[in-house]
Amino acid sequence: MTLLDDAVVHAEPVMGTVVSFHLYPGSGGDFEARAALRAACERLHRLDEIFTTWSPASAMSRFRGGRLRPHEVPAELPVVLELCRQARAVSGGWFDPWAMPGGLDPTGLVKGWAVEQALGLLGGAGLEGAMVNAGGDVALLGHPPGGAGWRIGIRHPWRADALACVIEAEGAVATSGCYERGAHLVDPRNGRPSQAAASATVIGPRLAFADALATALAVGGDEALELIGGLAGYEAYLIRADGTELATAGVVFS
Amino acid sequence: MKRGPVALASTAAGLVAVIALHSSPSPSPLAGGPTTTTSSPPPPSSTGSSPATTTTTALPGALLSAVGPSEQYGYGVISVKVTVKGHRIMDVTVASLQTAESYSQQLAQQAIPMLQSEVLAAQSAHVSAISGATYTSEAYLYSLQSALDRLHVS
Repeated sequence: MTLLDDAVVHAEPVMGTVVSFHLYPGSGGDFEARAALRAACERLHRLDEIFTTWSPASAMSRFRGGRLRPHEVPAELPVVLELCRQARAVSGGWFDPWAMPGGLDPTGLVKGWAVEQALGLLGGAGLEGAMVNAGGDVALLGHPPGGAGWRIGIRHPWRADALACVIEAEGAVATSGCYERGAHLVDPRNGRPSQAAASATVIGPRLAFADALATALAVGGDEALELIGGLAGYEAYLIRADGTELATAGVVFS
Repeated sequence: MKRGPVALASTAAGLVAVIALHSSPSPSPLAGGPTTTTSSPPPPSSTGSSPATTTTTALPGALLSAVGPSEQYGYGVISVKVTVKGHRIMDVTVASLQTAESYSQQLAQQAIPMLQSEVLAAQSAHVSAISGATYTSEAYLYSLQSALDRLHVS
């Protein structure tokens, strides 16, 4: 027997990446898990349709361009904008979708939020545990079979043959960094590309905020880490551009 | 270090499971190695990509390899070839890579050697998932997953 014998596993190409699901059916059984999985995937596609900035026809793109009429505003849009406002406030402005050079860009929060929504749909299926991984942004529910917790490897920014570390987590883990896509993070204070961090990880109860705060940490470095350490339930782990590391007190390394 | 059942069998069961190696609260009878695991059948793949090619032989312990379908990622198309021996991934290489512009090509060329090593390293890392900035990686792992499914590594 392996711990994975009863896992329902699925990979869904959506949101410009592949979102993978790992579900451990509990009392609800396999059938219910698969039904919830379908609902979760549909939700991700719907949210992608609304928020993608790749398509000029999406509600988000039209909103950015001032071309979205009031009656066309999807209910999800004000929700996301409010979360963005909250994330901007708690991050001390290090996360600021309104300060991006190309105009309003909530991308740093939307993926995490969408996955959080998908995980919420799985929550009603009586699962023992579930893990959703959207391109390295991980949302967790319950626990894996066997009673132990989730162990999340943090990708090493430079060393190809190693993880930077392994942490024990509940809730959500998001990592931001420049090592795969170049300097794509922007410092909201000056609109310039930022390379403050090699890798920025935030652990916390909500993936929407973990995602946004990981972006903030990648740009704000030490200063942002201190801020995040002061937020109830959130922890941060930073690999600075020079390779030195820093973590808040509550990070559980394994 | 605690060792859980290192199920490369799980690798055949799902994308994340490529890097999903679970911790266990107590030593497991399987703690010694990955080779005695069983797994539920892989779920139906949702990919509509080109069919994978498979080279198989019936000998246990023989090297088997398969090429996964071409998968789109944000900036191009990638397909991955995997070689396994028993339940262990021996090698991962890129079978094909197309990118829209040279910048992405350059980035992919930097990222891919890391991904190759990462898959091999994660086998012994006993983690549930890897968190990190990814674009190429998911397509890479998705193609890898499909290649493993073709090999019925379970």
